[in-house]
Amino acid sequence: MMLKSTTRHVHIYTAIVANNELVPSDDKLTLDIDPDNEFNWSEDALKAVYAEFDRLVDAAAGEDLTDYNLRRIGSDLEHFVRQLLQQGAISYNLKSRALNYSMGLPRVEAEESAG
Amino acid sequence: MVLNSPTANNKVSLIPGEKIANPSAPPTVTHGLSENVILTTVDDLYNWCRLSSLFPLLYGTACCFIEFAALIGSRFDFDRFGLLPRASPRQADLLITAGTVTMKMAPALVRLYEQMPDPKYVIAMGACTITGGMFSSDSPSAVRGVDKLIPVDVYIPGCPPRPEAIIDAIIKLRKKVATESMQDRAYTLQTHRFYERSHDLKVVPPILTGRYLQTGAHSAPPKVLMESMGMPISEAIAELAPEDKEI
Ligand code: SF4
Repeated sequence: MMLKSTTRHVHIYTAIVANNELVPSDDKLTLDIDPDNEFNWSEDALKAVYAEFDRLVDAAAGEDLTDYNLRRIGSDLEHFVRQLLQQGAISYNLKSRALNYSMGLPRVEAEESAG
Repeated sequence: MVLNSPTANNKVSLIPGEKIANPSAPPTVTHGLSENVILTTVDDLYNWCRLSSLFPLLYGTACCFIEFAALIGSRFDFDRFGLLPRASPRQADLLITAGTVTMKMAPALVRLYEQMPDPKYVIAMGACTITGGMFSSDSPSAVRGVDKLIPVDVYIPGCPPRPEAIIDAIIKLRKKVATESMQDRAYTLQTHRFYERSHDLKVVPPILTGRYLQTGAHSAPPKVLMESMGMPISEAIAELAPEDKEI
C-alpha cells in the first residue's frame, strides 16, 4: 500500500511518478513541494529543500518505513520551509488561490530580535 | 506599501537594521491566459452560475458536523442558496471541513481536496480547523488548522459555529466567487515540483490495519472497573495493584 505524508507544502509518497500518475513503489520516495503555490519558489530555494530532504532520508536509514517516520521527515521539512520563508529566500505568492499566510504574517523585524 | 513591493528584497523603505520576515510578493511567472481579453460580462455570468450552485461535499469528522447537519435540515434550509450536499468529491466544489482533523486523517483530507474538480473552495469550520481549537495546546495528533494542509477561503470561528454562521460564511464565499475573473484561473492551477530518490528505510508490513482492538491489549477492562463489576481479577492484573496505590 502506498504510504504518504501530505501537508500543505510537503507531500511525500512511497511511489514514483510515471505517466503523470503515482505508482506505488517500496524502494523509492517522491517528494512534491507546495503544489498549491502558496510560495514563490526560486531554483536555489528548491535545491535547498531537496538537499534537506536527502539529508533527512539518509538520517532515517534503517528505520521502519511507516506513516509515522514519513510524517517525521515531512514535518522536519515543513520547519525547514518555514526557516526559508523567515530568511526571505521564498515569499508568499500574492496570486495564490487563497492567501492564508499559513506560516505567519509578513512583518518587519529589527535585526537584533531576528531568530 | 512595503509588503506589496515587487521584489521581496526591496528594502528601500526600511530603516537600517530592519528586515521583513515572511515576505510576500506577486508571482514572477505569467500565464498566457492572463494576457487574453475576456469580457467582464462573460465573467459575471459565469461567476453568477457558479456561486448559485455551490455543491458542498458531505464531510464531517467531529461535533461541528452536527451543526452542519442542522443547516441541511428544513429549519435553516440551505438549499435556498443552491447548495446541494454531494457524497462524492468528483461532484463537489465546496469543502466545509466540519470537525477536528488529525494527522491520520490528513492524507485522506488532502486526497479528497485533490479529487474535487476546479474551481474549488474550502471553508474551515470551527476552532479546530482554524488553530486546533481546544486540542491546540496538548494534543499529539490534532492538526493545528487545516490551512496547514489545504488552502482555505473562509474561516468560521466558533465551537461549534451556529448554522447562521455557516450561512454567513457561504455569503462571504459567494462574494469572493463573484469578484473572480477567468484571467486568474491559470494562477490557481497546481504546480508539481517532483523530486524522486531511493531510500534505505526498512519495509515493514502495514501497521495501520484497523485491527488494534483485536490485538489483545484492549480485551480486559481496567482493574477498578473489573472490581466494581464483580469480575474475577486475573493474577497478572492483581500484581499491578501496588503500583495503582502509589498513584
Ligand atoms: S470546533 Fe468545537 S464543535 Fe467544532 S469540531 Fe472542534 S471541538 Fe467540535
